[in-house]
Amino acid sequence: MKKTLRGKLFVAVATMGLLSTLAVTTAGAAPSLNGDLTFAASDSANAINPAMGGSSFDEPFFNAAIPEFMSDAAKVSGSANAPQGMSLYSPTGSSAGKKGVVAGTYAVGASDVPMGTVVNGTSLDASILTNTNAATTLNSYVQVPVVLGGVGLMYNLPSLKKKFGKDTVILNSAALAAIYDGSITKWNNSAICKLNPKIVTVKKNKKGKVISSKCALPNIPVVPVYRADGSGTTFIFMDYLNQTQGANFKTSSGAEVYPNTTFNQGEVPSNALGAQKNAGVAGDIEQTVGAVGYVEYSYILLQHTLPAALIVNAAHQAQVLNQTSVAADAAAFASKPPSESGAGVVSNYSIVNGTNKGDYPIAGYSWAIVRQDWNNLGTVGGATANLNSEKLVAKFLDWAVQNGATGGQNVAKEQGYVPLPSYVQAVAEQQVGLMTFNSQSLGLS
Amino acid sequence: MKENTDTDTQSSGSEVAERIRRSATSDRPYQFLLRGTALFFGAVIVVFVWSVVHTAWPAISTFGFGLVTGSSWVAGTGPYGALPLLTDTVLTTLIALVFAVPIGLASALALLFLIPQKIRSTASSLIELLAAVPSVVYGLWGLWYLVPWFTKTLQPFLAGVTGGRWPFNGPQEGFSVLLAGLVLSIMILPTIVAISRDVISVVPRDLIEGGLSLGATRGQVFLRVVLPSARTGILGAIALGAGRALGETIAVAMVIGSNPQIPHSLFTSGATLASTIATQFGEASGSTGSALAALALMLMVITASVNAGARVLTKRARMPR
Repeated sequence: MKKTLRGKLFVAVATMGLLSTLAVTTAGAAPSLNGDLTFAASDSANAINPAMGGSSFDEPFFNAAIPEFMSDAAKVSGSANAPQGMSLYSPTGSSAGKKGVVAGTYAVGASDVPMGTVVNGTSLDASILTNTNAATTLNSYVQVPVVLGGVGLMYNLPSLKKKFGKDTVILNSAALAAIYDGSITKWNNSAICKLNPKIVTVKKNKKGKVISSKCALPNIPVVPVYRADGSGTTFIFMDYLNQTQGANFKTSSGAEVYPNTTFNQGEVPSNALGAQKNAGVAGDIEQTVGAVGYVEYSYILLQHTLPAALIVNAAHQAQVLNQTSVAADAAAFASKPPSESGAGVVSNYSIVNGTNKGDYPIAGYSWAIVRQDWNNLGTVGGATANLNSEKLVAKFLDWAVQNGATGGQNVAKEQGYVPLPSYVQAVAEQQVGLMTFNSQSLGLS
Repeated sequence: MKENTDTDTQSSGSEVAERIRRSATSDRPYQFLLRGTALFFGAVIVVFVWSVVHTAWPAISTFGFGLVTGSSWVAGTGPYGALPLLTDTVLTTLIALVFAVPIGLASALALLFLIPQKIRSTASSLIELLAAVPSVVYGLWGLWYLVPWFTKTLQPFLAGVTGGRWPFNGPQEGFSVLLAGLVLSIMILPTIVAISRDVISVVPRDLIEGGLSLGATRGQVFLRVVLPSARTGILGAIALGAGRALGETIAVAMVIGSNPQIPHSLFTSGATLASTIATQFGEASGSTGSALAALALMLMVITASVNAGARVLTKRARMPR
């Protein structure tokens, strides 16, 4: 049962050229997975339909990946053997994903924060991980990083679109903190104007000399939109503000907004609007001129017409949110990949505010959480917990994290996420490889 | 409502009950079945209330009266003060009633006495159709059409009327207690119209004709004869409408702005008891889950007391003067 994530990390490090003797010894034991999609008739995969759900950050990925997985598997194994009719993913939210997998109602629960994460000395999941039995013990689970995504600050300023269509509004962490604690109330606040030297109305005299240049941001209220439900996207955004604006996210006004005990809405200014899920936040922003809010990148890329603000990164560049800039952010943390302590707590999961050039600073991994051994579990996610059902889920996760020609990370890329960097992919494969049935290896390849 | 009728008919019904009790033995299984059903649902209600109280108990014992009087609701960590939620719930319901009661009564009177027979059934079925629309559809309509209309037209206009002073001050974001109340008023309108139409239709013709023959105008007859004699049923209609408004979840959650705060104007965004439960239960665990159960308990107490209040009033209204 004891997991050896650390051992596999050494493998990852080894592939990066930092060799150690211990790494070599562990490398032999750890399976190297390649997302094999072969199902035999004895796997009965076509009769299994395990439920998955959780983070709405992951919804675009899972709901594109599940049909793709079924059709790819059918090509490899024939439709009689391959999984069919798998349910789509339910975007019920990160906490619901964790609760669901602990309760056994989800075979895979997804969360934007690893389960058991400790913030300021308090476990975020103390209420579900009570250590009373195996199901409520963190060590009974494997946590697989499945997608890497950026969080965009989507805004609705139609008056700028006409005149400054190509110039996107630039914000930095201080401005965001001030917007979300209510100390900046108007778009043409001097702090925002200062960040946007291009969004100006310029007056010139007859000789063409500039005589005045005035901030052209509209004099309308800023309406911060936040997630009214508990949210992993909120966690990533708050993680960014915490790390850039102080541990308590205290601002000059002394107002304490979103205290560092994240996953809640904290005390919000009276002009703020709350909404449910990524889609709800995007919807509220679309309906409200002057609104700004944080949503997962694919909600900006694929489903909405509004722009996302450029964010000033740690290298003092105003950086646009796209797949390259999120990859640059993740790359800044290559030297300290996610790792796990003895009790199963994942550390180094946070990748906000990377110091690379071209780095978009608000990004994070999302995690698929699954029981490590399904023996004697009864049902998991509505499916009978046996070797076949566990194998199906393990194969799905294995395929989902692959970068190869038919791997799930290609689907992620189409949906606006960033393919997992190789060193994180190694962590993911290693975690899937830890899954066992009755302490026997699942025999994945 | 139902139990009320039972007690009222008890005196006349006791003979019948006695006869049923003495009936042939072949009826026994049937009687057992009926008694069993009644007891079963009684037990379900007891278990239901107990489980809500049980879930809410940790929050109640930790926070006590702070749950009701606290003005700050912070999901996840607490404090869990439901005062903003309570005021928003009551305020949105009052706004809904302010619009829906006069309009509903007027529509009921119009349907019965003013609209030509030919289109009467069409008109009333159109109003009843409003009751069949799922609440999420009202929510979407509010979000997509009323929010932009509020921000562009109604809120600037209302703010202009009072010069930006109370009650039309504050942010003009569309999402507000006023919008939630307005959407609710449309949702409870069919209930009020349908019930008050039915109770007005049984006002004796003699009374109305008597009033008219004494020289009263139609308006006077409506106000002095029809409405007073139908007041019991009308109060019942209002109570039912209020009950629906108090407990409405998704439509309110979509248009109120989900920002729990004590409203300082009608333009303030807010959150009601029911909308907060709907928004946050999915993620809630531990103390938040317990605090949400406490909200459910408050909502039950409020709707039960609205019902009880309506019963007292209807009983009083029914007494001969």
